[in-house]
Amino acid sequence: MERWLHLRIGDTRLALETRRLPATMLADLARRYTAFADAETTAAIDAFRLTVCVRPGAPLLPWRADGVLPLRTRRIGRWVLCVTPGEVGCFDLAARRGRITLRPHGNVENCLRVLVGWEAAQRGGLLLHASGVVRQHASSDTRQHASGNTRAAGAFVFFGPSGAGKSTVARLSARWPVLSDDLVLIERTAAGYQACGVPFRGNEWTAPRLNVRAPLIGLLALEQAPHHARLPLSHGAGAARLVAATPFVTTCPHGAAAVMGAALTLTAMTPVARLQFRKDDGFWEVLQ
Amino acid sequence: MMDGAMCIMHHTQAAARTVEDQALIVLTQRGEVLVLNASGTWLWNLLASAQAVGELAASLGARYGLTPVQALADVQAFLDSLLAVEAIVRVSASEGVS
Repeated sequence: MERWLHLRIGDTRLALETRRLPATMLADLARRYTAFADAETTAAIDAFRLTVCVRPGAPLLPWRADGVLPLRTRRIGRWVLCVTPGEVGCFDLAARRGRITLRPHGNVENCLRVLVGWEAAQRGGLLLHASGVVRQHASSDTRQHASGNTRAAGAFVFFGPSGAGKSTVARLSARWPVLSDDLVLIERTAAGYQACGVPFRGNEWTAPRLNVRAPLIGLLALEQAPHHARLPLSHGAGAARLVAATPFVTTCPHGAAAVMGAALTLTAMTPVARLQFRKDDGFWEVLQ
Repeated sequence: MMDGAMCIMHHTQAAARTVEDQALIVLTQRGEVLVLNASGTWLWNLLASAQAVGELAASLGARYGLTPVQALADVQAFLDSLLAVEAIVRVSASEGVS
């Protein structure tokens, strides 16, 4: 069996060296991330190389009684550390190498989220707690189906804390491609900002996760309300909302500064608006 | 009640930027973001170095035309709210009162 797993998540290329993993765990990894497999393995020289291994032992962090996953991240110099009860990741951002050590019940996903978040922030992007919906031109649907490609018109990204309505928005928008209902990656490219799907899904296998990217056309801070309304936010307030919705990287001053810079640049190009919405798809009317 | 001689400055775990007269402060230990108004931002910028509470109140009063009592009350309320979320810390006077 192939012992390297090549993934591409947004503009982050990952090469996971997995020969120390049990075959069952490797098969699960390949299945979980199949939609994000990087076909351009010749580009592996540019990839962030990760060694993944399993080491039995006690939980690396105590579990919480409320069921929330304990996750600690820390940056020390060029290193980013990530610890959960079942995983510890150590990433050298300068050399683009790292190691993930799993307990037998562990999963690389928590460490990969942290790494992708840091990688994006270093490029001026953001990994947001958000749902993302791609709206296509109705006139191009036939061509998209004929070519087999998803030629997106643009992506709306809906962000906010837990309970803000990310999953609700995704569910109400199911007639269009939904990138994710939990995390969306914003990448800064020469052509502008793009919203990208990510493979992270935790234990929710039924949740949508598309390996699709589309030009970013809307950033909406979700607020549940008895009506639908789109309201403006100042540049600073919009950036602050984005920073608050950026996990993992803002846990240290260096990362927080990078995320604030990225958020301010992003909101100068694509202003954040408040989206007040109730639980029906009528909110799309105020987004036209 | 804060002693007017008490000194305060930014917490090392708070990262901030000022945009359009609003300070954005990321509280890295809490995973929260604060946005301050113009007068709060002005005080926040002074707190880049250690400041005595009494000096801050005098500066605020002079800038906004407040009575000493009102200025001290406003500064104390502002600092109490930032101390509660660990955006600022108490420091000794030897750490550089300006």
